[in-house]
Amino acid sequence: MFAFLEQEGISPALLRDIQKFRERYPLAEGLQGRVPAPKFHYYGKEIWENAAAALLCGKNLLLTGGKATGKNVLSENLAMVFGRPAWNVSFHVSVDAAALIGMDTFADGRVVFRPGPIYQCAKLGGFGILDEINMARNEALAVLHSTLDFRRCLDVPGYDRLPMADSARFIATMNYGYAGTRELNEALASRFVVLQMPAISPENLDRLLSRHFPALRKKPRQQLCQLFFELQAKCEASEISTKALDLRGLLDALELMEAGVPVGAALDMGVTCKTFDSYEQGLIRDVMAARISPKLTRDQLFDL
Amino acid sequence: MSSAHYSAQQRRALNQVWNAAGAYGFQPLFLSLDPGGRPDLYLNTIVGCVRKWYGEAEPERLFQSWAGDRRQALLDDLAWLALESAAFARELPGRPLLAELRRAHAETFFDQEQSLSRQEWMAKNQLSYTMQAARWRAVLGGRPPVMTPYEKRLSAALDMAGLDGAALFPAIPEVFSRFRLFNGKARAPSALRLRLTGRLAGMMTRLMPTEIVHTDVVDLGRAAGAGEGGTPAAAPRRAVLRLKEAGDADRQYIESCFGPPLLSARELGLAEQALCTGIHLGCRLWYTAGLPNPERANNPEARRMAEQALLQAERNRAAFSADAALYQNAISRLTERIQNCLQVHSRTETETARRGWLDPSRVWRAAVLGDERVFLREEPSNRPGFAVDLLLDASASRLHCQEAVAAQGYILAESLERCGVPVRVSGFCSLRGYTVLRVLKGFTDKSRGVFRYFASGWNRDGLALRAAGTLLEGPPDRRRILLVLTDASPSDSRRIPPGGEYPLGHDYDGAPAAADAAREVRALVRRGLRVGAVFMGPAANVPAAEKIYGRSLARIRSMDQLAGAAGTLIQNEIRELEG
Repeated sequence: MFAFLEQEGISPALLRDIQKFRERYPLAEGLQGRVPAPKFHYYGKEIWENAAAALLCGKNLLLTGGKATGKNVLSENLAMVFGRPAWNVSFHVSVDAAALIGMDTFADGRVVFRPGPIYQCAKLGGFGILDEINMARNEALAVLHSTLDFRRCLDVPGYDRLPMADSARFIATMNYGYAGTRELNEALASRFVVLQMPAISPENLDRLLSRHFPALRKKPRQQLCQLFFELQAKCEASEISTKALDLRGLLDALELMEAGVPVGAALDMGVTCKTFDSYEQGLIRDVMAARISPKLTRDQLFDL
Repeated sequence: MSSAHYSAQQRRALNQVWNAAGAYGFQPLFLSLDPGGRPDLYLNTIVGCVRKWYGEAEPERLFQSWAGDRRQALLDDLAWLALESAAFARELPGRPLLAELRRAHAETFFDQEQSLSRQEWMAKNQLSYTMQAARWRAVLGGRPPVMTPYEKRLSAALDMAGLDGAALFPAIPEVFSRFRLFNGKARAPSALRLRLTGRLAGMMTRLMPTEIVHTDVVDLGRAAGAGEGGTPAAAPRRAVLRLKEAGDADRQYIESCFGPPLLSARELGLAEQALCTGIHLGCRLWYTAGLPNPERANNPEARRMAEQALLQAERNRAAFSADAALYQNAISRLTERIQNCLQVHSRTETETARRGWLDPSRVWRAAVLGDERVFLREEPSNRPGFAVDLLLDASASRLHCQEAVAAQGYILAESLERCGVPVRVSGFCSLRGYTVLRVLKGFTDKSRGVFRYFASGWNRDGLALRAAGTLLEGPPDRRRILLVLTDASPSDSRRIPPGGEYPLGHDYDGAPAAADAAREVRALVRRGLRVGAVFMGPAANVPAAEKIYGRSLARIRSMDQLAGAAGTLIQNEIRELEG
């Protein structure tokens, strides 16, 4: 990962500070399995530098941006490069305080505390990835206030106060304006530094594809990049839902093509059929039909 | 967004144009659909590329220069051939697949040649056809068709590959002038005026675009052709009419057109006593959920009108079925939006569980009964605490878009039903002194009832709103959201009677009518209803709409946007009600 960051041109001073952080907070035994090993790298020097600097300063990060901007990829990349175990919590409307910090349960005839992901993260000095934080109700999130601000502790009702480990950080993600999401409570938002995630740039998408599919020829790679951005424009114009704007899906489709699945079928499986609406599928296929020939063979796509 | 109404296939074609242009929302000069009504991907991509490489103004100016000329269709075809060659050359390096699409289009052109009927052949312009055949034959690498020297030279001149915008747009008129096709001055075909009466007039009004005139008869118009979603080109004018005072005849007329009332004569009388007061003194009410009944008609005119109302329901259903895919997509997306909003803003209910917060009052059950459900847990309640009333303006100002209103009403009703939100859809209009409130779909009815919508007469908004607040009862234990589709231009043939603010009386229109509607909206809000409006009408009516509905107002430019706009208003209301 450090080699990749050097390649990206990340400031050497920052990289040194990250190394120092890793040395200061060695990974406890048995937690290696919790350190993410992300399949994809996040591309974008400025965002990398800002995010790393914020975490080194002890801040919690709020990553905001639309679908396919790499919020989760960056979160996992950060946990990996800082060498910290990660607890990933996917927020939804039913998430309550108990689901976050833990709850009482009944075991062997007595009441015991069953710790939740935030509790464990605070105790073990991990990175808590709070995915789609604005899907949860603000009341449920109030329990995080003391954890996220200068107090750096977690007060579990009926139990001791848990001071947060120095290396613990929280990285929240949210897709503002996504149908049904709510405004993030001001009190909660003020406990994060906010990083607005830009959409992946054409150059970075091209680099991502060439890194993961080194055998992919240049021309089809460029057309696939264009295809992704054309779908993005269609989503922004609300002509299709965001279901088919799926970068992972596009990469999956390429893997299938490399394995010999015909181009049309692979794009259907990875992208088009992510939406179940036949009208939307028609619109997506039209975008593809104007870019990628379904007759393309594996040999025409890849240098095998 | 565009202001026109598009079918599902047209919308798909539009998307092909927008995609190639890399810009959304504009209305292209042309859309290409094959004889089967399917979008032509290659030509639509070219239309989009023309916009991408040459902008909007120049092509529009070019086609406008011969608009109305008797050879307009031919000139359009030839100009597109020229633009096609230029745009293809510009786009090809960035979109290599375009060459393949072009070849496929050329093959389709010649394939279709085989299936054309004699009439279709006769309808084709020979010169245009020859030029196209020459272009597509060349694309396929074949020998050009047999052409005269003039045609050969024209065909070569229309190949404008490699010209940039600055050279291209002067070049096309220059070619047309050189080949004596167009000298820069549009010559209109000679005008033909026909005055039709009787059956022939009836037939032509069905086939041709119509102008909207408010009258006191139910008169169902056909949708105007192009641009039918927009504001009627001609401002509605007030018809000179003499109100019939024969009460029974009017009542029978209303009943035959709108169906029997939901209330007994006594109940209706009491409602009129309570509601038809002030500036609505002397007005009548008709509250119904029925079907038009030609059998109840008291004269041939009323019978014809009732029959047409039934026919309009058929048209509404047919229009929906024709574009079912597009509408089902709209329903799914609106359902998802409302469902998400409901979930996020749902209230929570506490329930007992096997884990959660210990409930001290239940601990004994674990020890004595072995019951592990001694904890409390919060669960979001999925039961929305409100119901929606959609009130559709069904006056003659909607004659041009009845099918679209019905479809959008259905989309909204069905989406809300799927989210478990009770919804009722009603239409309102005024006719012969009666303000008619017609329930198309009750809270427990199927959404398809909305297709019974038809437009006619006037709209006395103040009285309709007052009646909606009283006669349309909501389900118990639920807040009510009243959404009104309006053009914010209330007007009725029944004048405001002399007295009060208007000692000499006043027409029910303009500022007095808007002030009346605004008063009634405030009264409804005071009674605890949440009132919002979706406004579609001329820009001049915007101040009136704002005066009547305040900030709970969404403006749409095409009836296609009704359900989406109403959905947004509902989301806002959900946030305020449940938040």
